[in-house]
Amino acid sequence: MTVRTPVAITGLGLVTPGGEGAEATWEAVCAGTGTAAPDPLLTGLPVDFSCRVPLSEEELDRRVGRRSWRMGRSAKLAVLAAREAVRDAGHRPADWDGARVATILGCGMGCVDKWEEQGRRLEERGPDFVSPLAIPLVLPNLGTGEVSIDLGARGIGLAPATACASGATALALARDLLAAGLCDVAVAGGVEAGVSRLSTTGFWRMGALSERRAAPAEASRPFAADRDGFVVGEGAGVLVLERAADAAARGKPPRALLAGCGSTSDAHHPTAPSPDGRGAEAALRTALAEAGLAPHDVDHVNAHGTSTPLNDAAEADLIARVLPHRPSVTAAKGVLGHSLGAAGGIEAALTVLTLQHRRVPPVANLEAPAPGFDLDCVVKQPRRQEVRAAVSHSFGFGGHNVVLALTRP
Amino acid sequence: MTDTYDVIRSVLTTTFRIPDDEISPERTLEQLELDSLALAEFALILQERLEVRVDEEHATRATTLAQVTEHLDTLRAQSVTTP
Repeated sequence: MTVRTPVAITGLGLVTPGGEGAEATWEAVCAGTGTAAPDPLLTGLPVDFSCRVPLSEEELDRRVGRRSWRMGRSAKLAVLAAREAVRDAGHRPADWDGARVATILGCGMGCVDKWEEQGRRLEERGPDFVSPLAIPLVLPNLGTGEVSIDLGARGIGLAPATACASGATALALARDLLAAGLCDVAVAGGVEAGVSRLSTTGFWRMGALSERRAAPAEASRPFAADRDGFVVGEGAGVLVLERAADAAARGKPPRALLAGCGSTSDAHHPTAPSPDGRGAEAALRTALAEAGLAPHDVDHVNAHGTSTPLNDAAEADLIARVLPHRPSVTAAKGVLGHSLGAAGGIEAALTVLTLQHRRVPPVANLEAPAPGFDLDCVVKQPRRQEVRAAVSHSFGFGGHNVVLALTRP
Repeated sequence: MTDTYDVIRSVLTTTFRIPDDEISPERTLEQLELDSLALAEFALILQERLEVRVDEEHATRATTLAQVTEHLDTLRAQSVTTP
C-alpha cells in the first residue's frame, strides 16, 4: 500500500448537544459530563431520553434565516456548522469559485420525526393535509443540498449513507475527490437529527439503547463494565478540507492533516459487528499505511465507543490487538450521545482539537474500563498529552468500518 | 372587518420569516419571494388556521396579499352562511 499525500483541515464547525460552535462543544466534551436528558418528544416510551442540541426550533430558524421554513432540523444544523467551518477556514463564499467547492455531508436518516408527523396527518386528516415539504424534510441529502445553496458551492455534492459511519465516509470521500483534482475545497462531515418516537423505539427494539431512565446523564458510558446501550443524539460536524499546497499558497496554516483513510465492509451481518474484527482491523491498518504510520506511532484513539455491549467489546479488542502499546483512548459519545450519521464528522473535528490543544477529553461516566479491556481510557478529567498522530474510528450498521488517521501539520 | 389579513401577516412573519416592513396589501407573493413550494405550504397553513381551503388560482405568485385576503374573506363568509 502506498503512502498518500495528506490533505489540510483548515476549518471546523460543530453544532452538538455540547453547544453551538466548535469551542462550546470542545469545552463540554472536556468537562466530561453527559448531556442526555428526558426528551418531551419521547414521553411515554420505554426510552424517553436523548441528547439534543440546546437550541429551540425558533432559535435555529433565527440563525438560519429566511430559508429555514423549508428545512428539516438536520439541514438547519448542517447550514450552521458549515458556515462556522467555512468562516474558520478563512474562506468567503462571495469570493470563491463555487464550481470547485464540493459539499459532502454524510447522513444516516433524514428528518424522520417530520415524516412520522406527516404520516399521522395523512391517516387522521387525509391527503390534503400532508405538507408539500414532507419529501424535502425526509431526504437525507437535503443537508448537503441546503449547505451548497447557502454557500454557493456548485461542485460535486454527496450525502453518503453508511449509518453511524456516514460522517467519516464523507471525509474519506472528500479526501479522494481533492486528491483526484475533482474539487479544490471540500466542505465535508456529517449531520443528523434523527431523534423521533419511531426511530427511538426501533433502536430500543433492537436492544441498542441504554435503558438507564433514572439517570439519563449517566446512561452513555463507553467501555464501562455496566454499559447497557447508546443514547440517541443529534448534531452536525463539518470540516473544510483542501490540498495542503493550496492552503499554504493562500497562507492558511492547517489545524491538522487528514493523512490516511481506511474504509472496509464486514460482509458479515447487517447490525452485528463481525466477531473476528477483521474488517475493522483492515480499515485501521489501511488508514495507518496511507498515512505512512506504524501502529506504534499512534498516540491517541478517538474511539467510536457507543456504549453498547457489543461495539465496545469489539473495539476494545481491536485497539488492544493492533495498538498494543496502549495509546490514550477517549469516546465523545459519553458526553454527546450517539449522533448517528453526524458522529464521524463531530469526532474527527474533536480529534483535530486534541491534536491542536494537546489535550485528550475524558470518557464521561467512566471510572475505569471494564475488566478485560486492555485500554488506557482517559477518565474524570482531560489529560495533557503531546499527540502527533491519532485515529478516529467509525463503525456503522451495514458492516461499515471507517478509520481516519490525523496528524499534526 | 375580519382578522384574515392579520393571520396572513402572522404566517408570513413567523413561518416564512419575512420582515414585517416588507409586508403590505399591494405586494404580490412573488415579491415576498414565495416560490411554488412555499405557496403550497402557505395555502396549507392558511387552511389550518382559517378552516377554509384556498383555491390555487387565488394564490399564485402574481396574487397580492389584498387579493388573497379578499378571497379568504369570501370563503369564510360562505362557510358561516352555508354550514
